[in-house]
Amino acid sequence: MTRWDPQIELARLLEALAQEIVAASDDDVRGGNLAKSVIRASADEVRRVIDGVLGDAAESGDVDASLPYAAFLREQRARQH
Amino acid sequence: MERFTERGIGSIVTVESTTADVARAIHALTAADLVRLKALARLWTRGLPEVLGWSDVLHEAIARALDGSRKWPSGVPILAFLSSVMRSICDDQWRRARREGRLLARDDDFEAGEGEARATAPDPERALAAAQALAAVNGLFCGDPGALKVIAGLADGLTPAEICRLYGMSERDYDTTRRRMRRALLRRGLEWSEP
Repeated sequence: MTRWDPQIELARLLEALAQEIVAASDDDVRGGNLAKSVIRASADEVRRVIDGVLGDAAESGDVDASLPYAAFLREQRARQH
Repeated sequence: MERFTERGIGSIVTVESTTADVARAIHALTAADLVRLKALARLWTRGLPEVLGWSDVLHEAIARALDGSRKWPSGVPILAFLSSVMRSICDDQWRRARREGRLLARDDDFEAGEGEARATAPDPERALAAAQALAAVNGLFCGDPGALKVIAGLADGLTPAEICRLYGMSERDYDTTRRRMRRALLRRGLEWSEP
């Protein structure tokens, strides 16, 4: 009899569930009893995280400055200072 | 992934415009994609030992993708790629916590050999956190016996066909259950409290 290893089980399970989330359709997102406001708020929250990283990357030169989004962020930051 | 070639001196070099591609792909994510991304970040950060939230892990994953320390493999969807980067960040976090725990333990070890025994022993803290995280995932589907069967099968590493055979589920039942699970994961992924 093999010993129960919760770490291995969890790793397998999280991997499988992550695949389910990736494979979820737009209908699954909208049809999961999620209020529109929750979807909007969550999307805004994630976009703020993304903006933060893209802004940092544009400043450090990791993102091509000719990229419209990076250029926009750089311009916006320059205006703020 | 976009590739372009540059003619160097006497050779053709294939260049991957990884950073620009990643930035463009992330910028192009729809609201539904962003919801999926948050649910993924929440999923991977379940039970992390340190005070590291889903947004920290997501931030780090995007930063690693943009600075090129993690390459976006051709043909892999951007969400799947970012999910794998987040998983690796969370694994690193566990390893770091374990290493620090060992260093602390070594300081406390007076008897020779005790430190080595600890180093090869299973990590009880991580095992406990894993057991708690498994219980939390099971709790997520506690009202859905079909989903619990699928979860048990996935945790055992079974294929969909094996899960259907083991639990006497039809292919249709399995697909319907998976759809319910996806919706519950998305719903609860946004509602789960910070780890």
